[in-house]
Amino acid sequence: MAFRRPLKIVDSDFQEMTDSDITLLRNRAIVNHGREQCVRIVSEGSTITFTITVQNVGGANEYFVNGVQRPNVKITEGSTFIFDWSAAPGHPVRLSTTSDGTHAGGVEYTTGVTVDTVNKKTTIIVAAGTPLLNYYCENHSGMGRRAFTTTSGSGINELIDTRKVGGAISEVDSASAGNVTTLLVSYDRMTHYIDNLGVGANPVIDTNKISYPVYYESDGNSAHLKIRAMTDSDFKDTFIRPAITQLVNGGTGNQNQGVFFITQDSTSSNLVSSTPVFIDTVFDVSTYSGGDSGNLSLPEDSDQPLILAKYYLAQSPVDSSISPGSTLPQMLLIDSASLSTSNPIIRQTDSGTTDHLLITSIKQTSRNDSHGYAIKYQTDSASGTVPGTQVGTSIIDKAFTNQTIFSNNITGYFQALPYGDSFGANVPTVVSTYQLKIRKE
Amino acid sequence: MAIFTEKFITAHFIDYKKTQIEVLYKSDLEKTVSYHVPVIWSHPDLKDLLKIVSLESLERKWDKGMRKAAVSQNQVKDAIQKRIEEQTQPTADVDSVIKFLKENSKEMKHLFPLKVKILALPEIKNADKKFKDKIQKAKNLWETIGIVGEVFDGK
Repeated sequence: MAFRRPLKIVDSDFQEMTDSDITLLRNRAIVNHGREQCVRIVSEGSTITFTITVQNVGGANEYFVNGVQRPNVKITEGSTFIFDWSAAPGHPVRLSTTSDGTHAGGVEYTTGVTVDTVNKKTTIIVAAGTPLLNYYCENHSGMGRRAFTTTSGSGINELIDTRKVGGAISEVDSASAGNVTTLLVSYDRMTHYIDNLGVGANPVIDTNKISYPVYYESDGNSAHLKIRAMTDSDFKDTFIRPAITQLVNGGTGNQNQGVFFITQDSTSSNLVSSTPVFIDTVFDVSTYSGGDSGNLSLPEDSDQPLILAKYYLAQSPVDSSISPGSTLPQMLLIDSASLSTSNPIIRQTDSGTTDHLLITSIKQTSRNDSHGYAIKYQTDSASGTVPGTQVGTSIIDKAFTNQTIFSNNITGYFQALPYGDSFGANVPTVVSTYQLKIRKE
Repeated sequence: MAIFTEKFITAHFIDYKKTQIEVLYKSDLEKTVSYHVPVIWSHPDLKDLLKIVSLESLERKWDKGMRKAAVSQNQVKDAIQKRIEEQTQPTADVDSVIKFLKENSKEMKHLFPLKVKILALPEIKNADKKFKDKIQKAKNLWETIGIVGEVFDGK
């Protein structure tokens, strides 16, 4: 397990790749993380598309979801999922609580489901409490599998908004009001989500130990120079793990493609969802500033918060320009077909093969790595103990430290004032701050 | 029946365009949970919500809730910034220094410029030649900094 410098061909000769070659390949791994990431955050209100194709497997047609044969898929409450079967127009996707749907005596599930037969898309808005479903082909049996319904919010710490709630006003004229109480509202809208769909879903099987590029192995004696294929771990140490170290450094630029972060910019094109993941509120003092007795503008109920800020989940966009897939440096591989001959052949990889190795490796590594390079997201308070690097804006949870409602029972005028506010300007106390953190583990 | 139907607390619009409603309900763990319901008339959660609260009621609340904040946004920002700085700055600095040193200790691209800068420091310029030699021969950032420490400590 070590960094290896792969070989390339320059002027009909083998040469070790330069630092800039390796940087380009690492950058391509970063682009691929954005394109086909395995670790992501699904938030309430997200829209996720499953691309449906059909292939004949052993004489029977089966669905492929994002390129993977009949996988179980996860659909999350509060989010929208689109099964796009435009590439398989003869196989309309339907949903049912019964495995294989109507082919097995079940009925089609239609709550929140729309089927667009013109554009060939089946969309489900996953309501809270949606049962476990199955996707199946309307026309043919045995093509689909389960669509697991999961609740949003697991794996990422919830965020708590502290709200002050006014007490009930019992008698308007005598201005009797209950104390203000604290309501802790839990925002549990983000799920740290790992799947294994799409390109690179299946790990490289390196049975013959020649799946990865070759390098010069030297013990310092030029007479002993050997050419060896990198191991899976060599490949990761050379390209993938440095790329992941870059991805988790807390930035959100083109060296952090596909990384999730928090923003207050509701107009950003990078939003994962227009549903805020956290709403920062304070008690609405003005709601209780009534007027003269008998003409009070009292609220219908007392817990309408004043929204100070909304925070959204966003994702750093893909920018292939830092390393276009079509112009990747060409590494050298041992040709598997020549292994059984007395003269094994070393050939140049094409860009597609190189790209596939990078995409597969970063998906597998970011999902599950035994050397501490799996990617993990978690929220935590700014001074908390969860390791990681802050990504994006801090989320603030605040409220008046204490507040009471009192009245001037001469004029019958209701007012709400913060109690113990030394600034005298109704400045809310910052109760706690949260940050979305990314780390490798 | 939506997840909030039997545990409903309250609901209100959360945006000016009235495209989103926040529903608060009590979870099984007795926590007050915020749940989002988009204002899409065919949305099953919205249909269930409107069985519990009327649209008119939501509208009335929104009108009252739209009063101006009694709090200056700048005051809020200042308070937040101060809090964040208090909480994060010392830790962030220490963490980032240690992280940088651990990850780059043997990187020549950092080691060389560090040595150049250190050798230009007045304290080092005036130090014994043996320290300057040791700095020049140091193999990594940790070692380099250690030698500087020796000079500063007067060893």
